[in-house]
Amino acid sequence: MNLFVETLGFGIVSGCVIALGAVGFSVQFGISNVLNVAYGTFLTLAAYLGYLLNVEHFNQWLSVVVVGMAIAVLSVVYNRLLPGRLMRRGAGFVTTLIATVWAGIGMLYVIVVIAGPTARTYQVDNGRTLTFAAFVLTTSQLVVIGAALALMFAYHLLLTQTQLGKAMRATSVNPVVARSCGIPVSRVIDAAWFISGLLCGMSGVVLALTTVTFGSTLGTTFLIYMIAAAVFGGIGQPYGAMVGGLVVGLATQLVGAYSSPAYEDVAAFVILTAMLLVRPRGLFGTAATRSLRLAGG
Amino acid sequence: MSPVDYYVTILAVYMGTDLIAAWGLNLEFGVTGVPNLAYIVFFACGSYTYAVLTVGPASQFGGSESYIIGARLDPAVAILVAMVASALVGVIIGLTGLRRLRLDYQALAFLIISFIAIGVVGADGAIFNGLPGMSLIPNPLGTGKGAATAWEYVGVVALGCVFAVLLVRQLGRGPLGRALRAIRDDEEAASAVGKNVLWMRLMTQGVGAGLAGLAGALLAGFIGGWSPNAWAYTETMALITVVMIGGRGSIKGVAVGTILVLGGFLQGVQYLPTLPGRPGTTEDLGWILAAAAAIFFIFVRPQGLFPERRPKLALLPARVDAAPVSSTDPTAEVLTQAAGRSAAARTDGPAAGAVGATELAAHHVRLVTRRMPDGVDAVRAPGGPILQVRSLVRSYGGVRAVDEASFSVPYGSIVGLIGPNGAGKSTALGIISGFIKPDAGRVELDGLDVTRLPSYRRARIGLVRTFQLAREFPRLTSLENLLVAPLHQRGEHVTASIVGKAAYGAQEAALVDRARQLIELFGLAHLADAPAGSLSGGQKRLLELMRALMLDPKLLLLDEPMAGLSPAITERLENACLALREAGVSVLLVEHELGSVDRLCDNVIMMAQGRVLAEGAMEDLRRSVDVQDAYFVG
Amino acid sequence: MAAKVKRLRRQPRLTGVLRGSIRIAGVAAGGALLATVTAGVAGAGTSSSGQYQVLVNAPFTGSTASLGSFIDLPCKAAARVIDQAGGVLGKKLGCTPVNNYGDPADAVPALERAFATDKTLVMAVGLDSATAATTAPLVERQKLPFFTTNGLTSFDRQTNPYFWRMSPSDNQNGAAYSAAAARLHYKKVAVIYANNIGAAGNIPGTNAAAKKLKLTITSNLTIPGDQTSYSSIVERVVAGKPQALIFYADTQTTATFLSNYSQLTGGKLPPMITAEASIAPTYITALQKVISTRYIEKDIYFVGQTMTKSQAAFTNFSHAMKAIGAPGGTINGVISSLFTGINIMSLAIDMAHSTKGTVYNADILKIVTARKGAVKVHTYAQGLAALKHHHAIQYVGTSGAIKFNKYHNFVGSWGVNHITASGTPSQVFKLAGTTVLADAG
Repeated sequence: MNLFVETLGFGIVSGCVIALGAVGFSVQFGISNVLNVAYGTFLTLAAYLGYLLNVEHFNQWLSVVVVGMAIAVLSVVYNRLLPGRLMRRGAGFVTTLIATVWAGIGMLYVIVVIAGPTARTYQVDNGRTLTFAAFVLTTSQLVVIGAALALMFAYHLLLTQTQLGKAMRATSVNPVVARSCGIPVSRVIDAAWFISGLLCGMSGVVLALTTVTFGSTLGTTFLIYMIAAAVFGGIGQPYGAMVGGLVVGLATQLVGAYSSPAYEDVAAFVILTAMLLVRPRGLFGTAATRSLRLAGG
Repeated sequence: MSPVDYYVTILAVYMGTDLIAAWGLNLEFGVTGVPNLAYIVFFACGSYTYAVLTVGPASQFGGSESYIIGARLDPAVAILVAMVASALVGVIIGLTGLRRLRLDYQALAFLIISFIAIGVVGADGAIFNGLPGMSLIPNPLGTGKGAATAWEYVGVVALGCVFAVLLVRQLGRGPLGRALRAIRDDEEAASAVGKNVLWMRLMTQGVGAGLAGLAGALLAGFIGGWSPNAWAYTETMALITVVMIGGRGSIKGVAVGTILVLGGFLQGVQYLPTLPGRPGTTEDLGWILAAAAAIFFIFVRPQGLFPERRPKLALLPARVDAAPVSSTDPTAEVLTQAAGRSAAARTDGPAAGAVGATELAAHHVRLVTRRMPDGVDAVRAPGGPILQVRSLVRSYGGVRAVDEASFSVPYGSIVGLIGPNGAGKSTALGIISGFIKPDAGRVELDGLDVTRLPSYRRARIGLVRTFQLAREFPRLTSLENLLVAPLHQRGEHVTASIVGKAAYGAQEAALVDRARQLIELFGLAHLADAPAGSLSGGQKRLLELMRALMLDPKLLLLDEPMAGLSPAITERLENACLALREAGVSVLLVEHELGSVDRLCDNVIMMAQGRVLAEGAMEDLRRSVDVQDAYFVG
Repeated sequence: MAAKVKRLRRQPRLTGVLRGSIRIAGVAAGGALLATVTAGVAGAGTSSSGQYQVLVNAPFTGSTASLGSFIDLPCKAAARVIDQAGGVLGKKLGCTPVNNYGDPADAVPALERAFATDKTLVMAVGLDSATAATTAPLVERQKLPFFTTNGLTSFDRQTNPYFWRMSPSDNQNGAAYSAAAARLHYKKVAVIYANNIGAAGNIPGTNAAAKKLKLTITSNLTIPGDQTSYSSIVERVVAGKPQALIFYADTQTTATFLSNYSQLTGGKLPPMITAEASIAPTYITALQKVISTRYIEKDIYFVGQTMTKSQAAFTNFSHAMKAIGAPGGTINGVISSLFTGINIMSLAIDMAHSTKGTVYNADILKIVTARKGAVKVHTYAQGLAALKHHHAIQYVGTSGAIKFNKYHNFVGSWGVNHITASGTPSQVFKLAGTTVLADAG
């Protein structure tokens, strides 16, 4: 029983780490309909930038925010240069996807050329290990959970309570109609990429703080979890992505605790895919999600 | 045999196997539009199947290796089995709920499947020896060590290429290729014109996976080893890049793309001058260059080096005599005349291209009669219902979009279905045409219960719909859009398509003629060879109607056809509807333009909040207080 | 507004012109590419720093690039000592890295290209587990002797004459970990292997030997690499109360796992028996950030090759590594076996007076085998000098006398080492090869 409760705790921690990135991914996919594989490279980049600060003994939580902002800006610039531009030209979904794959590869190898292929290790301050009920968590894990929940809540408020949020939702349903309603769509898209970049950057550093060591493969490894979580939740649905992230975290930890750990990642993917087949629009996806012509253009 | 020979033969084998796979992917993704981001899994499936069938049992390694089977089969048999096994896996994945997902979700689900497959094979050492993978895989041509063997192998791979290119070429051309491209351009619209989308998708996924399996078996047999490191998802991305840079749907393009992307890049990088420092820096820089090149290509040639070309059928000489109609058929003459007249009229003035009611009526009398060879009069007396809808219910998250709606459409009549936004009209239409499943209720066509029939089968028995937003097949020509629709096309069968024109040419020629006449009747002959995507909104509407007519419908379901059309095109459409009624085609017209409803409909059904509120002549409905309330207040 | 319209109108023509020029550029680029390829095949050389080249086959790019990043070091070190001693047949030795991408399919054309374009290759090293299945036959076809680091058990009874493996196969290594645990008098061990190509192959050997040695395995887990957390797995391991861990994973997984472990147990970790092969340049620095240096130096037992058997050979090796600026953590058995291999092959060339594999390959066995009247040599320079005086020689490397079985596979002993934080190994005890091999079954 103790092991079970503990495992739930570990699952929530891993889940929150994945969820941060998954929500970011979901935001950009939901609003501009770009499956941005280069997101993984931004995660890796964030981990390296965070490492540079870590070496200088920068406060680890402050570095999460600083790197988050840096990646946010880069993300906006990147979208304007590549996916956004392609979408405006009417490029299809797969075309844009492949362009982002190559952009991701290109940027990743820039990182590799500069940083080399060997792993880096953060000096992590985990704080005290706290035990309540049967949960065993460190203070830094609590910070991660708290921050993830707070960010989700903030994003929820943004979507529901602000003008920008309404404009974002409108754009995600139908950008053409949104534009004709006087919504400055390109600025809304910038905002979306900024937010997703912010979450991506923060998630990259948090990932590295959690795994302690990382290399150039960090982004691609975790991107696929994030994609799975985001799809499972229903693209563009932050709560869905959050739940998806938790499913990944809990599935991997539970399989690790009770079954053959070698299958823990596979198990997470299988659960998410199976759920998707049961609910083809994703957990929180609505009928209003627009269908698209994938092959067109 | 010199090292250069070995190098050249190896490059040839790699290019060849990549080419087989790329052609398979092109059929699946480029032609049919299945976003198979797990394609390399099928390649690996072929490799592994070949490996476990040809190597000896795992027990020979005394427990340090483990894999299934180990049958020492004859390599030729093993290659065939590998192909079939991959094809089967392709079909099985095609059969899962995956196909019901949105296309972008499908792409992602495929991507995740790719990770699941590699995860399972890597984690479960007992299937294919886990991460170390299979080794000592026998070469299909034996273990000979002379030059002859390597060059012979190139020959075997070349044979594989010939097989692959013939297969994908034959399947991707003619009526079958047209139908596949229709599915790619718009899956729902394709099923709305009676295409069995599931079967066609499964067919291409099977063939695509089978070719990948063939390529995988040939490669694994050649290099003698195979492990999870060889089939990361990035390999699929590389193959998709090949198809995109070459040109989706273009066989030649894919060949050029393979040589350029896989050959040119992978080999080219190794000729960059070696940089000082850590080994591998050169390759890393090479990846950066490759990425830049790929993005550059996507920007400047989004359609690829060889954009897909569609046949220009309007320029072919007319072959009316080839029509499977008896030459004594008097309507044939009328039709030709009508065609001539409307073509002439087009140049005269504003009324240009208006559809002559008599011509269209004649056209359809002929069509409908042809369907009933026993001389049964297709045009039954108006009165009995062609469509009977009973107590339809459909809810979305607690809201009843259609709530116990019952109504009918009599033979040979135009029935209007009106109501405010959200009244449930489009949902009702979706249920009738089979695109939306009802929670309860019954749909009967001509007395036959069709509630459980899939949409394409309904289209095939004459229940044909159009869409609220015109859904043409944008990358097919206008004429091809019409040609997608007809039933019983011999060229849509896999065997006939492989045999080629000899098997379907005559029928195709007749259909082309018919389509040309129709497109001329509607005054769009000058756009016959233009890609349908380039047509104006109104022209697309007309095109969609023509496409529906090519199916010889008994009942047409038109979803707001007049919305946003110019008066001239509205008039054309209205005339067409009247002509169709004369020809005995019944129409259920969902419409907001009450003027059109007034002019066309014999009877009007008014829906609000999912229920049928009133029914009767339009003028009576206008006077009803209920109706006014529903429309203008509620 | 008007300006906007104008700009929109002009665009298509502009792209038209652009496309035209792109097309020309494309054709030109394609032609240039073709020209380079043909020129390359025709024999344009690669990186040459010597007149005779050692082919170093390893993953230098891709996800396993961190493995490849130090495999070229032993070649550089060996080339240095060989050149200082006067070269091979009086000529300079250089290293030609050939990327195998860590991919058994992509490795093949890269290797064949090297054979086609570089006529100066005289020997090869590397060919790790990820790609050896497809690359070893190619090197054999070129009749190029090679010392491989792969641990694939499918090569345990291989008959390729040019294949030489100085390191044990994974199965044997696996047994050695159990043997080490038994020798340290542990009764209950947890066996944890990362699911990667180097580690997973050890499992059958470990289990078989543990059974024979009556070790109780408290948990037997294969863990996936690169996870956010191994906490639940750690709890599972802790619950079994093992006296020691048999653990083998890459640097990243090891650091994450140990970090989770010490987090959950308040820093209390049972001693760990691990593979010397897992030591990579950043291994120690990574571990230092998550666990105490004391634990690293005292409680981790690295099972690998005996390292200090011949002090002269070891000094020769470690000095050469330092001289080429090799990072800490690279003074280990895998690296030293490649260094030794290059020395042996070079001496064989000198002995046979031929760089042809068909000629000198037979001398490799002679050079390592103890024979009557043979002079024991520990460095290339000593060997060369002895050969010049027409003495028969026996090369004794960092791991002592070298033995091969009839399959050219390793038969020798294991060293169980501690390592200092600066990367210097010291042997704790030795495991006799014969007993371990018997345990492996």
